[in-house]
Amino acid sequence: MKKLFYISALILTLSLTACAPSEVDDLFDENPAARMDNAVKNYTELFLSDGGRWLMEYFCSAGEPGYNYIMTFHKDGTVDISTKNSEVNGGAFITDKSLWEVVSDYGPVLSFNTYNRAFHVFSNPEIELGTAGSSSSTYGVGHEGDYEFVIIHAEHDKVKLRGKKTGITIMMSRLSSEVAPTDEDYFTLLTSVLNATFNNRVNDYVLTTASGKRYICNGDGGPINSMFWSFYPEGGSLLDNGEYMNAIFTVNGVHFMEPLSFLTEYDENDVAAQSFEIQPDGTLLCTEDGLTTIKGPSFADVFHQKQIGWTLSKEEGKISGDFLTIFNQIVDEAKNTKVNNKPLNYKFQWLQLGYDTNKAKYRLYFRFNTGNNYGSIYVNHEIVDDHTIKFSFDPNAEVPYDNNGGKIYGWLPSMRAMVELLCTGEYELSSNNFMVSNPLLMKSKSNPNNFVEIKFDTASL
Amino acid sequence: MKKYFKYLSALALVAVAAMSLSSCSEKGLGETIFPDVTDELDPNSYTYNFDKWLKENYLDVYNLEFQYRLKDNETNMNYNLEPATLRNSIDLAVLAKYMWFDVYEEVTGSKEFLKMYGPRILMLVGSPAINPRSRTIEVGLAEGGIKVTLLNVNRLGNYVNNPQQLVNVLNDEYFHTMHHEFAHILHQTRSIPTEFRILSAGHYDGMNWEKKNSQMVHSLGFVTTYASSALREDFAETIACYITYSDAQWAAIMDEAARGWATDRDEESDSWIPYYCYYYYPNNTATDDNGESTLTYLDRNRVETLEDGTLVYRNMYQRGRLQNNKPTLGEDGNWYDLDGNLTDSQGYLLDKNGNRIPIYVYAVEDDDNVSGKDILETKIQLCKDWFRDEWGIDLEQLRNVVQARIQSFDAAKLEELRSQITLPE
Repeated sequence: MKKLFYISALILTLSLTACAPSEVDDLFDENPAARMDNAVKNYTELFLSDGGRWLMEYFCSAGEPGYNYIMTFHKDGTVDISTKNSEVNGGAFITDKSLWEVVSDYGPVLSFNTYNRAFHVFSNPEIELGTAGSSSSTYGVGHEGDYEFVIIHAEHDKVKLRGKKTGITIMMSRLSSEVAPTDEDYFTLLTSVLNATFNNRVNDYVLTTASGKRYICNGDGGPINSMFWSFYPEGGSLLDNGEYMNAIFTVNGVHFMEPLSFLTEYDENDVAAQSFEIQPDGTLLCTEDGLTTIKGPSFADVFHQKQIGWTLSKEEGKISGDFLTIFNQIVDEAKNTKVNNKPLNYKFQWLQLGYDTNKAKYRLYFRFNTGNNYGSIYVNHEIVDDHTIKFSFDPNAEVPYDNNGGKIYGWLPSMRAMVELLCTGEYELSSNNFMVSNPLLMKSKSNPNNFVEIKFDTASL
Repeated sequence: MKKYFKYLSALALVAVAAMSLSSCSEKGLGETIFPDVTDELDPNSYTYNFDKWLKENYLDVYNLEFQYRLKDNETNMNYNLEPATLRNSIDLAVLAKYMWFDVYEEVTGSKEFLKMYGPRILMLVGSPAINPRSRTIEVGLAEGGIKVTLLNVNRLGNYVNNPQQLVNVLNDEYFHTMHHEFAHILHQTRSIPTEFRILSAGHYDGMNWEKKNSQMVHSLGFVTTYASSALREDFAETIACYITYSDAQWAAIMDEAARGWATDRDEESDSWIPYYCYYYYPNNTATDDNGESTLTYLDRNRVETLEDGTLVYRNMYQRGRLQNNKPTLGEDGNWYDLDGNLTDSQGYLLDKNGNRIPIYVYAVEDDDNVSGKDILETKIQLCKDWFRDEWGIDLEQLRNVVQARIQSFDAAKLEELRSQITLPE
């Protein structure tokens, strides 16, 4: 009997609940289908608005860096996609037209649903990376990249997507023609900004958190340009304390695929650092907390790095005092000094402080005329502190100069004077760019009027 | 009293239920929550001409949706796939109609057959579906008699400027796949004949079919290695191959099906294993002393039967060793092998009169206890009977129409088909 009573009570309760006005109606003005339909229309309009040109920061997997894609959406259902990256078209710039749609799927989804030569390489399962037949082979999955993206959040100039299969968060931002009039211009600009931001000859950069903790960062032991970043606490080691994260470089800076949660420091919104914007001094500043920075090593350290040929500037204002005087004398003496009663008539080309990897020493490295008229005079360098270096020259060293270097050292008093000037006292190094440390101003500490700008060519990196 | 109370309670329960239901039904169903969706095509769309052609030639006529825009939730999400190019999709749309739908119309006299039994969805995928572990490749799928998926469509792009090569690839892969998948749809509607089911029972191998050799499976009565994987694939492959293979291809299959095959390689190996139907003895004589270990198997394609029935082998046995080197042209205009023996340009040894020297070649014994040729012929006949009895279609006529279209296909035909659809510049 009791059972019957309970059943009656239960049915009554359920009936009343079922018939109660839906709470959904209270929360939303429209039903789910209409909301989805509106979302699809609104997002379509958003992508098309203001010229419809967007930059996608595309990550296909955690195993690769991010790739820049420019997408211009058209009302006729086509999209022009451009890129310049190592995995597509042999690394050359490419643009191709295909179709796009915002569809209702797992929520509103941005889909690139016909093949685009610039983009769908990352979804091709036939691409075999790694060693064929081994466990590293990717045959069957390829780069594992998405071509359908769930729209997570959108503002007028920024859209947050999530790769439908990979779940990777991908950002899109509106790209103005003021940044780059054409798509190809953007990638030209990207290369120059990259070279102005990272010095490929310098491996170790320094990340400093809001609380002052310092991490050494590099490209998994190599150049950081690869955008495979590794981090370890200063004083630790990559082997013991290494953390890894892939990143994308855009003209604005560096964006990591995921927040750097291993830093264990978060901003007021409990978000770890992920995006770093290029500052006027070249350094990178975290956009999440506004405090975490990434900077290059000290100037003296950079100078200490190997394989950099620093060219001494001849430009007005960038060379001064004895440097300018002696430089002009070298140019003059190279032309007029008589050897065997005949003027040398050499035309000066350039003078460098270049590192000779074979000799493991810096050298005054010069060239006259054209052809193979190079010469080297070897000097020793010493790091005094983070901003100070000094040089020395030993004429009795086993190899003080090479053949041409010895001749010029003997023939031109001005070259001997330059060596003496360089090897007198200490030099302070400074730069306006704290990332690539290029160019550097080398100024005598004993006579500040004696300075010269030294610069290496980033384009040759 | 207790009894009455029980009845009253039951009555109350019914009353409550009735009230509940009536209270819910007062509101009615109301308006649909789904927004109005128009199926009108947008004339400003880049693909308007293509979409219009698809509507007029597939949707309106066959109630078939031709999906060339890839939706990955329509695919097996375990695979990584890429979409088809628009250009290849257009080519495949016009060619599928010409080589598949129009063929059935010509044979049956109307569009009704494919309208009734054809797939409702034809989906294109640019890449193949690859199983990373087994490295097997899928190029077609049929699901529940409703949907046919054609994969690897972007491969077509390699052949679009070579009509003859294009049609061969189309025939070997795509139309073969279409007929294969359509055969699945048909046998999911009318079951596979019982006689067919028992012909190869016990010889199907769903686990290792991809490692098998096609010639060896021919001799077991399967038209392809895939046919040897399962009964349903055997049935679909027999029909598809019968329709799409040329007479020459069938003659080769039947020849191989009638032979014995052997290999001297490890059959457990993951790599492709060569099978041979000829062997010879290194000393060129068969004696009692020649044990099996002295057999050397021969590539069938290098053995030729002369008009008088003798066999000759290209660039083979000389002084106890096999040479696979190409002959070189001597200064006197004759061809020679590396030992200076006279050959022809193909490497066959010649006697002083310029005749190819016969060799003693033996056929590998056909000891699989299966008459592959007979089984294949029976399977084909059963398929023909099934088409005639179940569907009222002459399969041979269908094949003849397909083969005629293949033979006559050329650049002009391709352009004619393509010209039906133009895209904006």
